[in-house]
Amino acid sequence: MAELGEAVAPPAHGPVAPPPAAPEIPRLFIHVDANRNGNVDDAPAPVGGWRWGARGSGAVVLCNNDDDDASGTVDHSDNVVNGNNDVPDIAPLSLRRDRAAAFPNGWTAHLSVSDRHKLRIFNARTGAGAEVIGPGTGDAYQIPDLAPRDIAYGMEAVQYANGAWRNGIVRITLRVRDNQQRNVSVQHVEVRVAPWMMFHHLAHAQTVYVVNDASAENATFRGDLGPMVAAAGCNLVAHNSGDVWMQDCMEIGYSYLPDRGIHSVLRAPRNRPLRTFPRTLLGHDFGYEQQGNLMPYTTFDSFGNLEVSPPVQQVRGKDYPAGRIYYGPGRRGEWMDANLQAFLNAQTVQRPITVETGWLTVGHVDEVISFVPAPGGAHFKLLLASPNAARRILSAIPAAQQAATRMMVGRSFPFYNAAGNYVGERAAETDVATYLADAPARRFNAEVQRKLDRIKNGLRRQLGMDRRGFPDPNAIIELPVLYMRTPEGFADAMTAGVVNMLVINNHCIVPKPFGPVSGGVDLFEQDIRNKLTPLGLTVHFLDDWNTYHVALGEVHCGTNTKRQIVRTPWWEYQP
Amino acid sequence: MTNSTSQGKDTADALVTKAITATGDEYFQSERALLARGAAAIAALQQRAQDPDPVARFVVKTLLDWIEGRAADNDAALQYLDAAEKRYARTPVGNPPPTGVARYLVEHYAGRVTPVLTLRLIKEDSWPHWRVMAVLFYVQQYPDKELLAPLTHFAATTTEAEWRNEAVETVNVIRGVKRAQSLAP
Repeated sequence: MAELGEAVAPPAHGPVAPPPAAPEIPRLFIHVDANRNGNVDDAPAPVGGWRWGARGSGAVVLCNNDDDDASGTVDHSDNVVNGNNDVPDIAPLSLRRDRAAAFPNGWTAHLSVSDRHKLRIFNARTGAGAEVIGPGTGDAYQIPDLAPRDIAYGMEAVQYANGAWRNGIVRITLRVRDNQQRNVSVQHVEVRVAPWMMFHHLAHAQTVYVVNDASAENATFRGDLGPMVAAAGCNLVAHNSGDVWMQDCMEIGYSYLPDRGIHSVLRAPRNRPLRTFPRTLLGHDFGYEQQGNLMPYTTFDSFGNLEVSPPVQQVRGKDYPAGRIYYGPGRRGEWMDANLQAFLNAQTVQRPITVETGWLTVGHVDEVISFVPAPGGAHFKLLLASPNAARRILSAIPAAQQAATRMMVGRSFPFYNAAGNYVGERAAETDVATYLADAPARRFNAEVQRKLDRIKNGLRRQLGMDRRGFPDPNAIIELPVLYMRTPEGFADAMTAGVVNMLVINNHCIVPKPFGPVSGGVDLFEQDIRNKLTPLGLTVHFLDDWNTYHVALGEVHCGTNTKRQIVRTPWWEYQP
Repeated sequence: MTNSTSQGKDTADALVTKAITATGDEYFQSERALLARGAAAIAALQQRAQDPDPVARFVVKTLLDWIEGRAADNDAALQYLDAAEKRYARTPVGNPPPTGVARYLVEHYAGRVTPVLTLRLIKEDSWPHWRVMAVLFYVQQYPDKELLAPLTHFAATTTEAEWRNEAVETVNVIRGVKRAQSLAP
């Protein structure tokens, strides 16, 4: 029997041939890119299972969900390599004979996989490759010709890891049999599907998506947004829809092989008009994925409620080089889709954190949490909404000037009659003295601050910001937001939810807060500039009051971002 | 008894029967007709007040209280549900949050609209998820044994597992087996 440590272990069943006596009898091995350098290894695939870590081993396959042949369907939905553009998405697998001598007559070799519904193997890693193992054929394949010294195959995954396939691993087995069908050698190799990952705010932004709903106010919003996005070096793409919540319909993520990556948009399980938009992004090196059920959907299924932190290290001994996903899990009667949560967990490398946001009407994490790039060891600052920060600004205004200092100047909120129909506007403008004297508002904002403090403490723990030696003791910045209680008892931002900003390439496009104005200066704007500008960030204030704020959203809710893929050796992570 | 009176009584009887047995649009037509008749519908309803079926008795009592003016908040509460649906449709939320709607009902109507909302719960055949859950959460705050029969009926007939589970939870709260969960955000 050929020997390769445990990789050529005796078969669990079936007759076993005696070891080949003649030294000229060759051995056949699986070779993959087990060391994850982008090339098939010279050495046979190593023994044991797929292992994480910089010194781990095991090949990576891509969930080939882009559309390289412009067929309008994802490439893994058919049983061929979809042209030459698709070849880089196909992971290599080779069968190599270890010496020139041929196999004896009647010897055969067989490839098989543990689950053909997860992995497809092609008979060539070329544009003409066709499935030999996979959903459309079967789970085993006899190699038709053992004469070539090196037989090249290709692999693609047909799904990501998910709740029903948590480890994302498929085992490939190569059996060589003699002329009496006895196993001469057996080699097992594990491959893992590359996870779907999210981009954090430090990643370079390329394109910003926004909705054109044909209204005049929306046109003004987009007109104001355009130059800000251009200043950040991004393209602005408008999509026509009556559903203005671009952030909520999708998350543009990516998957990474050892030598390259593809974008992959995850459609939110949210049954509103923009549900069809994400699929329009499907194309060459731009995959499409959907998880969860469209109905019934809840606000927690929207992707304003799905964000990721920048990279963090030494979180209870673990590093997260691609950051950690965070989301609000929901509240009674309104939970995030369980399949979606299972999918996010199964991706492993950005292990999710849940954040209690059920006290907000909308309940999305982007309402109260954001991250910006920053110089220094941590490379980021965590931004949190804070009524206390707002009240400190209000209280610092000399008492004699508080009555004359107006806030939310010229702003109003829509007013609806008992039938739910819009009947006019209710003035939002007030003065600082009146607001500070409003005891229920003070109590309510204090309660909101307590909830935000719990979020702050939770994130500090889950992101390792509380550990001794964390490189930035001032990594949390609180930005001023005042909240109001809704008829249903939840919290909504009263002044603009400034944390709900678009962060692209060191530019922060912040909802114009309409805070207290003193001497012609918006004191909330001044506070935000003073906190962010020293970090090397360019701060833009965008008036989204009538377009988004009064409808319980802000700039971030109305936009979405495609970011640039950078090398992400996620396999070096130690889960 | 004249023909017309007889015919009117028969019609009222038929409306009451339909209100007891029907769901969806057919039920609402009968409910509207009975409410529109006002006092003229009372006798027909009272005739079924001792119906052996507890769900039928609940329907009759709820309609009687409504017609006889003992349920003054019914219309406002139902209008609130419709209004909330419109208001939230403009937001990222899309649908009113069930816990928030329940909280609103508690704050504005205390337990006064549990019968009418339970009536709608068993008679609507196209209520969205948020309405069903909101009403069940609300009803749990005011355990009322008169609601046991319709809620048990709902639990037994709904095809949605989450609704059935919450209805069973509500029945258990009313029976005192469980405590109602807080609606606090």
